[in-house]
Amino acid sequence: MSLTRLAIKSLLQRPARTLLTIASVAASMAVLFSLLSFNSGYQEGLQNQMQQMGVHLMVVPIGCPYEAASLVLEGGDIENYLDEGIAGKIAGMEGVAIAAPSLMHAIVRPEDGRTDIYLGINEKQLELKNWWRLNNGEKPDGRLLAGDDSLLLGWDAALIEKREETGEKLWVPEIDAEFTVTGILEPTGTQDDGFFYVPLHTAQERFGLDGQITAVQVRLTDPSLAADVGDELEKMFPGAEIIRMEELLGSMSALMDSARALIFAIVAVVVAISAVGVLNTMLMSVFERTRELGVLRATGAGKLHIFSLVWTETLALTALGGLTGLALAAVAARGVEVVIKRFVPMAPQEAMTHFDPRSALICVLAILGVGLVAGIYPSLRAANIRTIEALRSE
Amino acid sequence: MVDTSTPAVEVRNLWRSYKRGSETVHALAGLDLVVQPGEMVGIVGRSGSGKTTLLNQIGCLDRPTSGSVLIAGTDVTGLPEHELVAFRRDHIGFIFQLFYLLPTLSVAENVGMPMLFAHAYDRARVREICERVGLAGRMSALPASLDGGDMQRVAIARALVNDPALLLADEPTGRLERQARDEVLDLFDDLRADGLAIVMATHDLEQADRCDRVIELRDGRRLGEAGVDSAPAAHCVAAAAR
Repeated sequence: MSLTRLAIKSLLQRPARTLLTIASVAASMAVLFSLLSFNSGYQEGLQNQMQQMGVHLMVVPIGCPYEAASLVLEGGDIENYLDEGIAGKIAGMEGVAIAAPSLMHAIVRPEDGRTDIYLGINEKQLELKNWWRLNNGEKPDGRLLAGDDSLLLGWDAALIEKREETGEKLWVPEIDAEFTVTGILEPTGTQDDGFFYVPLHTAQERFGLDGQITAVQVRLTDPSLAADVGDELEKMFPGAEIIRMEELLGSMSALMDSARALIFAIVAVVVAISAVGVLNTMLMSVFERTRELGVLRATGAGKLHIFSLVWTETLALTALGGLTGLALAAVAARGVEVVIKRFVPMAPQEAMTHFDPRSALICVLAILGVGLVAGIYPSLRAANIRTIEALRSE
Repeated sequence: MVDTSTPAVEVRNLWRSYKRGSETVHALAGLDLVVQPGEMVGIVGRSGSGKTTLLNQIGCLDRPTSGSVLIAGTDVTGLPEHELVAFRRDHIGFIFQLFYLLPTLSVAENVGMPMLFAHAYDRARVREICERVGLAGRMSALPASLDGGDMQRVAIARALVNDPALLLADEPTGRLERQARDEVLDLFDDLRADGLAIVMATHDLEQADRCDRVIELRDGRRLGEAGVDSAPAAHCVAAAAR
């Protein structure tokens, strides 16, 4: 027998109300935890995606740099082009490890409801993306792009085209060309999986863009040189936009911060409603149990005992609700992610909700805070009940 | 161990007054009362005569307007709140007409509750006291499964578990069948034989007859007293009922 056991048994006196209160706290907790986990996973996913690009700077045609970057990331056509020759000039700059030119072109297939993104690349791109692996486990090299009709398929592109083996042919009627599959990439969890990679000169020829490219992706020998090299590139190529990937990430984060502020405002309201619900439940309980509390006082309970009893009940309610909410959120994480991704801009492709102990700790502390605060007033009311009046009450 | 040389209760010139609008109501008006260890005193009187107010004063649930209350030799009127709580817990047991058991606690847990507040929960003591009141076989039962007599036994056990010197009972058999009432009164006889002082507010004629003394109250004053060596207690009860 302990005060905690007494508190839990008191809660069991009114099981329906107790369960409803736990459910409301659980719902708040589930929302809070899901959003925190999603937020954390989103940030991490963006960072990973940017790092996986292996790119510190990107040189794109003049225009909105973020639109251009987004198009490169997500796929699409770019109206303006760069001269292929700048890739060589960039490669010769101090601090530049790799400068990989690429030409992006989209083939829209409305009858199939899809857009195929063809990316003309050379062996520099393979060097840049040194984490790429073929589905046979080998590291891709320049031989995959040696033939004019070579076609390296991203994992998703191969699935869409139902190509599983090298040597298989792919006819592209829009450009009257037949390609030979030279390799299929292992999935990377990024937009790379959806692309069709062909030799740069083939893409230029087939898409009628001789000597032109849409981007030069630059890896530096030291990422901390990004600002200096970026400034130099801006001077050298005034007709180009220089995108520092940190800036792109920063813009994405800023977008996300806005969304997150809105989300947290909603969560704050939900948590506040939950706290008021708990407060209301406990106040009702104290009013209804006035005589019982009087009996406890008459049989030896001091004010502190009564305060502790009611406070423990409140904490038990919120703790049970919190744990239930955590469990619910963990179970429903994938479903929640699908829904949230629809409303959040530029969501990374990889799974973002996972059980994050730090978020769980924040949630537990938050919900315990709600319990502590919501329990104070009912506990004080209970502790200050006058014993003889309580014994007289109906 | 009960100290038989000191009165269990000593009430001297006790006043308890309330303000009702501009009027002052005297619920107790200069009352004197002494109860010795092992004595069972019945308090009778009409509703509003001051019976429950007197029990509340003796039970340290309320403070007097003036006068003094000594329990087992300790003047409780001047004790600070926290000391009063501890004193009440350790020296006084309460029994109510409606039992006031906690429905979700077992018999043993209800009985042991006052020990919990004393931070001295002792299963052996709970078992001992349950055996004493005849509840040894029902310690894990919930109150809802008990009849009125057994519920009052639980309440009595709860009142006794901290080994008090004084038992205060407000209409303890008012809701009981005859047999259960007699069993409770038999139990009271056993308890006072062990030196426990019992002060009991009652309307029950037969119950009053089993007291050593019966005191009649009217408007907060003692009207008369009947006892085994004087007039029959029934006289007071009948007078109170008029």
